[in-house]
Order: sequence, then C-alpha cells, then structure tokens
Amino acid sequence: MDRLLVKMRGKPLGALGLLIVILLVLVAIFAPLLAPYNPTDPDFMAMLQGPSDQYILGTDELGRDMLSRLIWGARASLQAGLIAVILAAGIGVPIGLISGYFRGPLDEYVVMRLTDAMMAFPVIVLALALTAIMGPSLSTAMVAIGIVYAPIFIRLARAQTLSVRETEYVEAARALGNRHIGIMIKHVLPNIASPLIIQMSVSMATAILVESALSFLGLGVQPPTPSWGSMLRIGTNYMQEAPWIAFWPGLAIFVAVLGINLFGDALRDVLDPRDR
Amino acid sequence: MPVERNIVLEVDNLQTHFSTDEGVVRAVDGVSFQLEAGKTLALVGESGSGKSVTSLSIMRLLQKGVGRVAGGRILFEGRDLAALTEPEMRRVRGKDIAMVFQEPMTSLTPVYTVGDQIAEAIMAHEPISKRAARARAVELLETVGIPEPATRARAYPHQLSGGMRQRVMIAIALACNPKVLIADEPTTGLDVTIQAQILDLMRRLQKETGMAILFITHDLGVVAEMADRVLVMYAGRTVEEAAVEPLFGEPRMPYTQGLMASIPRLGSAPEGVSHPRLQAIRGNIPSPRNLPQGCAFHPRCEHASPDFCTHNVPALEDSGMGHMVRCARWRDVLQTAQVAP
Repeated sequence: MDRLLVKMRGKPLGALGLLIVILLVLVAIFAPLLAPYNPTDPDFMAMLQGPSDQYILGTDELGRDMLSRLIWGARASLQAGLIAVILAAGIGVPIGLISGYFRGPLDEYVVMRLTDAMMAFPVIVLALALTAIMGPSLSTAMVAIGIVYAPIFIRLARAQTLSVRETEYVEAARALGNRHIGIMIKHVLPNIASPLIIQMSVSMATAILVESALSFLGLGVQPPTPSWGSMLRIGTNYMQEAPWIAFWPGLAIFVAVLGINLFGDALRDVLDPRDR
Repeated sequence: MPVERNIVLEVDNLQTHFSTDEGVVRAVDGVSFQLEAGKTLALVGESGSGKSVTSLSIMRLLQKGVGRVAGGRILFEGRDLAALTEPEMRRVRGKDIAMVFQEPMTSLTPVYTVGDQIAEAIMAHEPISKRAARARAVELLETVGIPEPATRARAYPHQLSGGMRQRVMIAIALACNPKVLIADEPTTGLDVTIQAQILDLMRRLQKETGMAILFITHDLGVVAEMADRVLVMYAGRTVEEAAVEPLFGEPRMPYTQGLMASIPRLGSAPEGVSHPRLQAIRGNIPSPRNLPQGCAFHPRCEHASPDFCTHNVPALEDSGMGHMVRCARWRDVLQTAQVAP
C-alpha cells in the first residue's frame, strides 16, 4: 500500500484522480454534516433562484438548495457506480475465468451464447423487468446495472484467460503439481487483473450515467431523494430560465467520471510489475 | 561384472494419440526407454517427431479431450503413472518428476518475484513455513549460481536475463529434489556461452543430487555434451538408440547419419580440398496425419529399397551391444558407410 502511494506521487494525473475519488467518497460519507440545508426541504419563496449568498449554487424548481442536493446526490451516484460494478465483476470474473480456463462445449455453447444474448439486451429494458419484480429503488437499479454489466466482465476475463492459459508459466505451474483452482487464482487472475481494473473504472463511470438515466425514468432513486442523474434530467426542463440546475449535477458527473478514470488508469500502471 | 542399474523411470511401448478433425494422429507410436538414476538420456529428433509429446505424456499434462495415452506403460520407480488418480499424480509432478521448459522468458509468472515462485514450488509439496521456504529459495538461487541470491530473490522475472531466468527455472525444478528432471530444450533461445553455462550447471547438479535427466533437444552438439544415452525419434517412433559414443561414432540408421552430416564442422576438409557442402536431409518430416507406408523415413532415404522399405515397417533390432536400430538395411548401410571414404 505504501508502495502504491509512492508510485502515485510520480503520476500527477493519477494523483489528481485519487484526490477526486477520495474527496467524493468523503463528501458522500459526511453528507449530513456538509450539506447546509435539508436537500428535500422546498423553499417556495426561492424557486429557480440563481447562485446567491443564501444558496451558493442556487435552487431548483421547488426552491431546494442545489448544493445540499448535490452533496446528498453523491451518495446515490457513488453507491450505484461502486456496488453495480462490484456486482458485475463479482459475477463476471469468476464465470469468465473458469469458462476460459477449461474451455469446452460449456464455454463455447452455453456461457458465450448466454453473454451474447445478455449483451443484446438494453439495460433499461432489463431494469424495467427487474423493477416489476423488485419494485423501483436504488438497489433495484444497482442490481440491474450489475447484471447488465456482468457479460462485459465475463468476456474480458475469458478473453484474457484464453491467452494466459496457453502461456508456459501456466504449464510450468501444472508441471509443479498445482491444482487447477490454485493456478486460476494465483497465476491466471493476477495476470489478467490490469485490464479488469481498467474495465471496472470505466464501467463505474458509465454505471453512474446509467443510474442517472434510470433515476430519470423513475426506476432508480425515488423523489424527493436527490441523485445527480435525476437532478440533471429535471434541470433539462429549465435550461432556459435556470441553466444551473442542469449544470451542477452535470459537472459533478463529469468530474466523478474523470476522476475515476484517471485513478483507474494510474492504478493499472502501478499494479503492473514491469513498471515497478 | 554386471553393474547394478537403478532404473527410476521406465517407458514401455508408449502410444500417444491425438484426436483431430482428420482422424487419430499417432504422435508417439511405441516408444520405450529406461532412465537410470544419475544418467542422462537424450531424446533427439526434428520438430514434430514426438519428443515433447513423450514428456507431456509422462507428466500426464496432455490437453484433455485432444491428446491421450492410448497404450503402453510409464513406470516411475515401479509405479504405473497411468493408474494414479489426479491428486496422486499432482504429488508426483514437481516433487518426483520436475520439468524445465523451453522458453525461460515466458515460463515464469510475471507478477511474482522469483523468490516467491521458488518458495511456492517448495510449499506445494512440503509442510514448511513461508519464511523457511523463502530461505530455501535463496539457498537454491545460490546453488544454481546466481550472484547476490538474497537480492535477486526479490527481483521480478522481467528484471533478469534469459540465462538468469533459466537458472531460476532450474532452481524451481530442483526445489523438491526430484528424482527425474525432464528438460525440454532448456537451452534453446539462449546464446551459446550461456547455453554452455546452463549445461555445466545441470551436469554439476546431477552429480550432486544423483537425479536422472531426460533431455529433449534437436541440437546434437548439446547431446554430445550432455547425454549418456541417446534415443533418436522420427515420426513418433524410435529409430535408433545407443550410448552416446557408438551413436556418434557409428550411426547406423540413415536418418541419424543424415542428422550427423548436417552438423557444420570446423576444419573438417582435408588440405587442398575445397570445403564440402553441408549435407542436408532432403525432404521434410512427414505429417503425422499422413505417414508414408512402410518405413516412415523411406521417402527421404537414399538407401531405401523399393521392395521392402516402402511396404514394411522395420522392427527395432539390436545391432550389437545394445545399439538399437530401426532399419531393414542397416547392415548394408553400415557397409556402404565403411567403404565410402
């Protein structure tokens, strides 16, 4: 870990990404302390107000403080991104790894065709189906995103495993008397980790966007609870008279996605032993 | 006085088949040999002759569903390896029979230090703490002649040269004091001085540990240096087997003679005579999917008789003193060789 930090110092962009991620996480955790107002309390005397001393970032169509909503919205957005991606990788990586390692008809005709079928499925449609079963909520949205993103990880883990399993060090590990499961965990997984980590950071960024879309459709975070996505979509209705309603959550999503991508990029470099 | 022979590995009439879309391919067809403790047997042949498949058959590392041992026995200290369960076989791999692979550049996992990889090999077979295993790893690095072993143990494979990595591979192979070391072209891809060092190292370690080495190569120069006995393979079959001196001094199978003739020699031409052209064996090794009828070598053999060789597979016969030859005409071949200048 300390080596990680030392390495990070040599990469200003990565350090910036790490800083953004840490900041966002802190904001999400300490939202109740940081927010100057209750994010769901309307102030009907101050609807659609521009930035002012009282409301630093302005107010939305119901007079709710944008800053407070933005701070609370970090919770939903980060949760959605993080948990959805962990779920997707948690489902996808083991399946892809095992499937790619053993090959065979199960891999070829079952796993691959199922992932093809799933990748053809639009995330919104699957989310609708899940919502019908589980009821609309943030966790439904996260599960939906997690399931829809799993095939990406299956494919990536499988493709990487396919090349690693043919390497001589895997054969050498077999010749040393290792079990398949041990080889998969100790020799294959670490060698396919870099692209998976990158994919996780990219997916996390897009998962935040998908959560925004789902929330807008009423399938994710339920009003009046704020999330960046729902704020952004509402803001589009008032682009003419109150552009800041869309601008701030848009900026927040942009910064979060950028930070996560920069961090993921630097993380890959740090984790690559050839770079140590 | 008969010398006590301590045979650790015996391969008896090994048949390894691969199922392909075009039918069954007999990659190894009836190979037999015995490996003595402290001795080196070289398996020699061109690419595709079945050398590496033989070693993978011994280790039972053939790809499932594609290659399988279809017949014969592989006895390790009298135990038939084919009859072992997979967990039992895992205990043999690395502990009793270890392997060194062809490509030192890619045979080490890039994400762990070499010390960790050696320690892992030890811990796979011995109940030993991680700390003790690491200490042993450093000792092993010293044994294989790596300077500053404690520092090197913390290096990643990409930080070492090819020769160093091959030394590490040998250290891993030696981690559990195996009785048999299978070296599959361990010096291919290393430059010549490093090759010599690695061969020296293997010979020294063999002397110290008394392990048997099955040395797979296509490099006859290396064979002359390393082997006690040589087995020449062609198209999945043994075509000649003898101790190293008679084989080099008097090869009896036309194929082996061809191999010998295709080694470049310095200063071999007598004075006043222009340098003879390097002899090459005409043609290519036949595809194992489509072996010629009769002796597999006859289309390339200048001694082949149209009556016999094209129809009958000659038996592997003892031409005297344990010099085994698979050639119907070895007597004639030998005479021509002696008559020729």
